[in-house]
Amino acid sequence: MDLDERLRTLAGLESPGAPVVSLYLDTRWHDEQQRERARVFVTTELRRARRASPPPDAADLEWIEREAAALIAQAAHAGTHGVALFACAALGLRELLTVREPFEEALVVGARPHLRPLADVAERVPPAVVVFVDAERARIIPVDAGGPGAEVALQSEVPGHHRRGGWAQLAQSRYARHIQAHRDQHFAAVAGALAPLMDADGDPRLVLAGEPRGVALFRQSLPAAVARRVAGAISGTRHDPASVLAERAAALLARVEADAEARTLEDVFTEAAKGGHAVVGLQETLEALVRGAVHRLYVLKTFRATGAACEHCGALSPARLAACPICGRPAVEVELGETMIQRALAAGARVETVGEHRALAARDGVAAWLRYPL
Amino acid sequence: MIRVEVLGLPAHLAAGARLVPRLRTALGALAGRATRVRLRLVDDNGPKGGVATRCALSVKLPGRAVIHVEAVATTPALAFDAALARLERGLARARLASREGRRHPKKYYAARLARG
Repeated sequence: MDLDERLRTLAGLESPGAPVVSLYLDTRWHDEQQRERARVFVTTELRRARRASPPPDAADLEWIEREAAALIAQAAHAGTHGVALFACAALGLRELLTVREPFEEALVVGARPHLRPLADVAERVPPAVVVFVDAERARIIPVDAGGPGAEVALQSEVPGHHRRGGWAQLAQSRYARHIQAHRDQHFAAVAGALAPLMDADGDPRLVLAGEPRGVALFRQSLPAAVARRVAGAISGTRHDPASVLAERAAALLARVEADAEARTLEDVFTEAAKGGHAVVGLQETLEALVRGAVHRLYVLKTFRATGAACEHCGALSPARLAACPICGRPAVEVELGETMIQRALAAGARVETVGEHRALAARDGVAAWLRYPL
Repeated sequence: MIRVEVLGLPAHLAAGARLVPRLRTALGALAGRATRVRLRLVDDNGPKGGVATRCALSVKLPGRAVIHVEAVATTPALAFDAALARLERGLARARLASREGRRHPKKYYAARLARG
């Protein structure tokens, strides 16, 4: 599943009739009480959704109820941590997306799919390849937001050391060199097997797993282009399940991404101060979004603001206006965080949700890299 | 998710890993049934060359004997092609046998049905 692709498709949808129902569930249930809480949440929210104006299609709510019941009973998708459901009969939309990160539970009814939690997970869990490696074996596990993918295990068959007699053959140094030579060949073969995977779409990161010494040696045998994509190393053994390695890799990637994000935001502030390919602040970011200039949008996780959107010309305003300041047609009240994310995704931009950033919080909580200066 | 194991000398491992996507495509119909697939590349005569690269494929299906096929050719890719063709025939035979087995139920099953 390419989550970025799905996000872009969903961001481009707008229902002409009955609204879209979006349900997010945290499916890490450990006991019956947690499942019961989820049941109560879904029942209460569906009851509230039926009273919404305009009301969603009854068939959509039934489908959501049925799928949620199957999830809570753990009859389907038992291994996932978060599930997003989207339904809209007018658009022919019935979508169930499973991810390995939990969502904050929410049911939202609106003209467009509610995508903020999904965009947050897509950004937090970048595609990666986890490689466990030791002197004779390797396990290659592609990991994305949906969890660990199809695993490939590689095993080098090392021919035995011939016993040809003589003191020279018994020398320990020769035996050590024999092992070392085969280990180097094995590492080179694993690096060769990795190369096509690293050329895949989405610029996957590489996470190495194994004994520290083996990992360090393997790292040296990687081609420069692949070595640059190494996000770090995690501990792991040959018998660890793929899901365990994927979880450790996700924690490492989240840390690495947060550090990289902080560095990038500093660059955004510098570039914006120079009047270049970046903007900081709500008004400037809204203008860039309306002009389709946003390449990467940064939104604080806590960002919530109500503004206005013109349904005719698409203009966005941070003030609650009754009429569009550009075309004079009626404007509707919108939650700007969700609207900005939808606009950015629909335009092919990436969205980064920032956990904490003092400088960004002081400038309305939004910033963007631009495709061209405004 | 089918787990694919590639075995062989280091010289063949990278080539074997590159063949895995084709193997997965061929086994697409078995998704959720095959528990393990093993691809082994062996050089029969070492560095001599010639028609001596052996590709062996083993597919483990639950409740059935392992389906094992082998083919020999000059390169790993050619040997894999030949082995894959044999594997597809083997899987088709296994499917047919399974269908025939269901058409002719065992006596105890028929007796249970008759008893109601």
